[in-house]
Order: sequence, then structure tokens, then C-alpha cells
Amino acid sequence: MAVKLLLCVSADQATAALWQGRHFAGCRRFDNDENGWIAFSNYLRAGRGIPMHIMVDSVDEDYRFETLPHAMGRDRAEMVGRKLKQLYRGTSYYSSSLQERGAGKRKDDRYLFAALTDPELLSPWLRATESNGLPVAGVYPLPMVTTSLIERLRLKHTNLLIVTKNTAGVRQTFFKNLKFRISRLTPLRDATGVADQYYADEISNTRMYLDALTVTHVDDTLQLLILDQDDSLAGLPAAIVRGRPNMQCDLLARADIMSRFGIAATELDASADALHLHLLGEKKPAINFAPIQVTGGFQRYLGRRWLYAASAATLGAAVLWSGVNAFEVLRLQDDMVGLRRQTQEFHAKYQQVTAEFPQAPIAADNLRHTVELAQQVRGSVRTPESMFLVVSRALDASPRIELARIAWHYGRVPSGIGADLTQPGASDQPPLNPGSLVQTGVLRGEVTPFDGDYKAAMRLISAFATRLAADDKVVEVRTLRLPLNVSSDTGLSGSTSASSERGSAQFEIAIVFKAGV
Amino acid sequence: MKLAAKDLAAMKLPFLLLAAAIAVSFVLVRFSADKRDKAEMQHRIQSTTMQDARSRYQRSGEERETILRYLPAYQQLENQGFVGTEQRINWLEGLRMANTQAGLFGVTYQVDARKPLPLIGQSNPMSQHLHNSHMKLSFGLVHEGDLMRFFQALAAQQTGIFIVTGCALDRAGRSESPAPRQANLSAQCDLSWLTVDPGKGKS
Repeated sequence: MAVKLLLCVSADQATAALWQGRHFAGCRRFDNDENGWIAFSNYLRAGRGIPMHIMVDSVDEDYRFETLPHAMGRDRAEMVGRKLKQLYRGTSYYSSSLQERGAGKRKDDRYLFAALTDPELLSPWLRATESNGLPVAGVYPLPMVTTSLIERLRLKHTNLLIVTKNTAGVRQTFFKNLKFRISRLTPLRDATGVADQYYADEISNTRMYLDALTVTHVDDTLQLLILDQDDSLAGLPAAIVRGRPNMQCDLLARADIMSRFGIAATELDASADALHLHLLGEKKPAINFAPIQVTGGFQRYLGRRWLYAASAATLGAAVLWSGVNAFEVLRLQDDMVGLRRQTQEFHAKYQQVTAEFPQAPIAADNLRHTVELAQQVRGSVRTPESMFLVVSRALDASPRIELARIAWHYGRVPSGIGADLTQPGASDQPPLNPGSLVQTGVLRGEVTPFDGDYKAAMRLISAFATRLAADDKVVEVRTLRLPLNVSSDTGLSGSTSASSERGSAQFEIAIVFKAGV
Repeated sequence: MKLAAKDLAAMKLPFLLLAAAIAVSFVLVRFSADKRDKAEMQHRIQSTTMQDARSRYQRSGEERETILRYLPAYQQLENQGFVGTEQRINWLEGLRMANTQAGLFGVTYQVDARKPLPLIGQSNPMSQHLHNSHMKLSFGLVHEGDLMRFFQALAAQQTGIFIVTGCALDRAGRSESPAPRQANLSAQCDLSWLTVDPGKGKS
């Protein structure tokens, strides 16, 4: 819950109130003298670290409206800053507020410039504040605090003059179209009929001043709202409207103020500034006079608050996140209990059912896989019989071919014999799968009888190979060795003499069978 | 806005507190997230176990059918020596019998140590447990027809499952016509005796 210290400073005194939970938690008045400053300092000692909002109710104030070219961002800030320094050279307590944009073609911006022209008024109070380590959040003019009444009371009058009686005097604040225009402070008089007439004359003067400024027209009706928190201005409305037909008065008496603002009687009794302190506690005004040198402590205060809030938010988020995780862990653990129970139930049912099964040495699936594997093995058994049949048929048609050796192999295609058959386009047949099991064979034989006619022997061997290749089961027949190597890549020697003509015509042929044969 | 030493001093404690809050938050979240991850993993495992148990129970009828259908064949494979350890004595006895029945002149054999053979039926999970015992045979033949009779006789012994992986026949002499009662051909053959050891565990 936000705690703040509210201070209303006027020429003669200052009123401090502790704001807590949208209400005062105490209100004290201090004279603007040495004793008052000491008492104020003692009062602040207990409130170290509490931000202070200061409201100034003084005649040493200035309000003026200026029209400046429309600008945005840094340009606007620099332009407004220059204007403020130009207008208020003798004080650092000034501020501005953008009121509206002009209706003309240029769409210029209309600003309210305001300043506290006598900053010395605040000095003793600020010294005590600083020495006690209280950050100053802002210094606000009392009329700007009055502005919040428009929203609070839902006022909608075009020409509205709010009259309040404060410690410093009677304050008249005029609003045109619900926007602040002028404010005047009149010193207090004793609460008598003479005082009422005195205030009524002052209000009449204000009306004439407004007419003279053409802020209002003589025929315009000026609506007055008198806030009489101590019921001392009951006769004022009658004194005002006497002989002044264009002025209407509404008076909010003490009881009305208490009921409409929720302010306790004790709070109202504590100070004539209680209503404005209450309004200041509720809402920060748009105009803040305090320069950065004064609000530096408050900036640090805000920074610390932000860091504390960030720390709390971080921890809170982590606790929340961890809580969600912990909740999820508990949910999963709870769910796992159910899963374990279900597992045990299914296991028990399974055991019950399988107790009636025939005794099997291994699991049913392994049983099936083992039998299927045996069937696969049996299905892949091959013998040399296929090759014998193919070779026999070829030999029948080749009586002069005599075999000395038949080698048969069943497995992957051996390197050197038909290894290239795994490549597409190596033969007329589809390429062999490199991992497939095929039958291959190597035949070694000779041409008999051989009379030295290599040409005839080569023809016989070629015819024999062609017969082998003609078989449907054969994919490739390749001659590995011929009786005579006529290749240009190797040397060749021999004799054509009669004694050497009777050599041998040996050859070697490889056969590759189709996959699956 | 520039930060002065005064500002930094004022912010020291809040910054330390924020750092501590971040550190504690990190540890807290990390710890709880780890616990959650572990719980999720255990839950997944438990869920899978339950689904397996349910599936196994639901398929128990199917399992019974499988046992009834395949158990006799499996037992026969056990008797043949395909399942279990090598039956070398049976193989040699089979060789002797086949030699006699095929009318050969004796078979010389050489068996190598058993080795894994993940070659046949790779899609079958049991092929991981397939073993090969390589046997090299040397024997004489009257003619090539004896070779097939020998293998048929060996298979008929049912002493195991074997695959012939290679055979080479050489003519023993250079005579024009084979003699009726002598080894005209010498044969060198390679056999693979296959065995599978599926283990005894019921999964």
C-alpha cells in the first residue's frame, strides 16, 4: 500500500499529512519560523524514505499561456525548455503543460507555463526534508490540484470558477471549457458578513478581469462552485449574486464535502488545506515545479522501488513456475501409481492366461522366428546339380571339348568373375544385387584331339561357350583363358615345326547363373 | 540521465537483491524443471511398460496359437541339431553313413570353429543368433552323379542343416573313359553347418 507524505506550504505555515491507504493517517501544522522548521524536522525524522509531495499555495506564482509552433519529441522539449528559461530567469521552479492545438492552419500548440516566482518560500522545508532523507516527488501549485475537482465532481460548465477557502486565503481558480486559465489568492478576513462581502467583491473583480481579458463575455453566465469545508462561507453565494445576474452559485458545505470526497470530519478539522491535501493524495497534478536537483532523491527512490519490484516479480515468477512444475510432478507421480497398478494387473492376467499354455522353451515370437529362419535356410540351399545339367547339355553338343576341372561356388558374386554384373548395363540381363546369393562356376578343359590348329580350337571353344550362355539359367559366360593369347598387350612365342604342332588347347570359362536359380 | 556515485551507492543493495533474486529463481526453476523432466521420463517409461503389458495380455491368445503352431517344428529342429549347440558327432556320423550309402571311397573332413553368420534371413530377428561351422570335405567319385547322391544321403541323415557353398571336381587321370570301380574324380567341397542358439529366456 503506497505511503506518502503530503505537505501544503503557504507563506505563513506548512501543513503535513501522512497519506496511507487513500486516507490521512495524521495531519500537523508548522509555522513558517525557526521553531516551526525544527518541529517539522523532528516530525520527518520518523518518516525517512517516504516520498514527499509538496503543494504550494502562494501569491508568488505565475501562469501564462503561450502559443508555440507545433513540434514533437526532442524539438518540442528543447523549444519549451528555452521558453521556460526565457520567461522565468529568477527561479528554477517552473513547468509547462500542453493545453491544446490551435484551430488555425498552422495547428500551433498552446502551452500553459507556470512558475513559483519565490522559491525561498520552500527552502526551509526542503532543507529539513533533505536532511531527513525523504525523497521529494514533486512541487505542485495548489490551483493545479484544484483541477482534479472537475473530474471528481463531474463538472461540465463552460465558465467555471471554483472558490475554496484555504490556510493562505480564499483561492479563485477559473476554468474555461474545463481547462485551467486563471487563479487568484485573496488573504483571509474574519468570518463575518463583512468578510463575505469582501470575498464577493473580489469575485466580482475577477469576473470583470475575465471580461476585460475577453476570456468571458459580459453576457456569459459564470458558474461558481464554493467549497466551504468549515461552513464559514454560507452567506457568500447571496452576496455574490446580489445585483449580478450572470453569476450562478453552487455551494458545497462541510457535510457535502465529507460525503462526496469521503473525508472524515477530523481530517477536515485538522487543516483548512485538508481537502486539497486529500486531492493531492489521490492524484498527482500535471504541473510539477520541482527541478531535477530536488527530485533526484525521488528518482533514486523510484529506481530502488523498481529494482525491488523486479526482484519480487522475478522471485514470484520463479515460485509460480516452480509451483507449476511441482504440481505437474505430483500429477505425474499420482498418474504413475495408477499405471503401475494397471501394469501389475495386466501382468497378473497374462500370467494367469499363460499358465494354461503348452510349455515352450522360448518366447512364442522367438519360436516362430526360429522356425521361419530354418525355412529360409532350407529355401536357400543350392547344389552343383544345376550347373552340371547346363554343362552336360553343352558338352553333348561339343564332343571335342573335354573338361579337366569343374569348380562351383554359391554365395555372393566373387570378385573377378562377373563382379561387374552388379553394375547396370554390364549385360543384357538386369543387374545383380550385390548382396544376393548366386551360383558361379569355372570350367577348365581342352580341345581334343588338338592338331595345332588354334583357329579351329578357338571356334570350338567359342561354340561351347555360346551353348552354355544359351541356357535360361545363365546370365553370363566369360572366357578366362584361351589356348592362345592373341592380345596385343602381351608377348607371344611358339613354333610351327611338326614336332611342336601337337601342343594342348586348354581353356577356362566362367559361368554366372541368374540370381534365385 | 547520468548516474552519479550517489545514485550507484543508493542502488547497490537493490541491485544485489535483484541479482540474488535472479540466482535463487534460476536455481528454483532449474531444480523444479529437472524434477519435472525426470518425472515425465519415468511416466513415459511406466506408460510404455503398461502398454506393453496390456498389449502382451491382449495378444496372449495369439501367442497361444503361435506356440501350438510352431512348437512341434521347433522341437524337430532341436532334434535335428539346428537349434542349440553344435552336434559334431552327429555330423560325422552322418558323413560316414552318407559315404556308405553313396558308395564313395571315404571322406576326409576338416571343421573350423563356429562363427556368427548374419547372412541369411536378415529381416528375421533370430538371424542375429545364427552360427556357421565351416566344413571342408575331400573325397573321390566314380563320376559326378555320385556327388549329388552323397549330398542327398547326407541331408537324409537329418543330423543338421547344411548349405553347400562350393565344390570343385578334378579328373583324377587322363583316361578316355572312366573306370567303373575307382575314383575317377576327386572332389573338394565346402559346407556350412548352420546352428542357431536362441537362448532359453522367455521374453
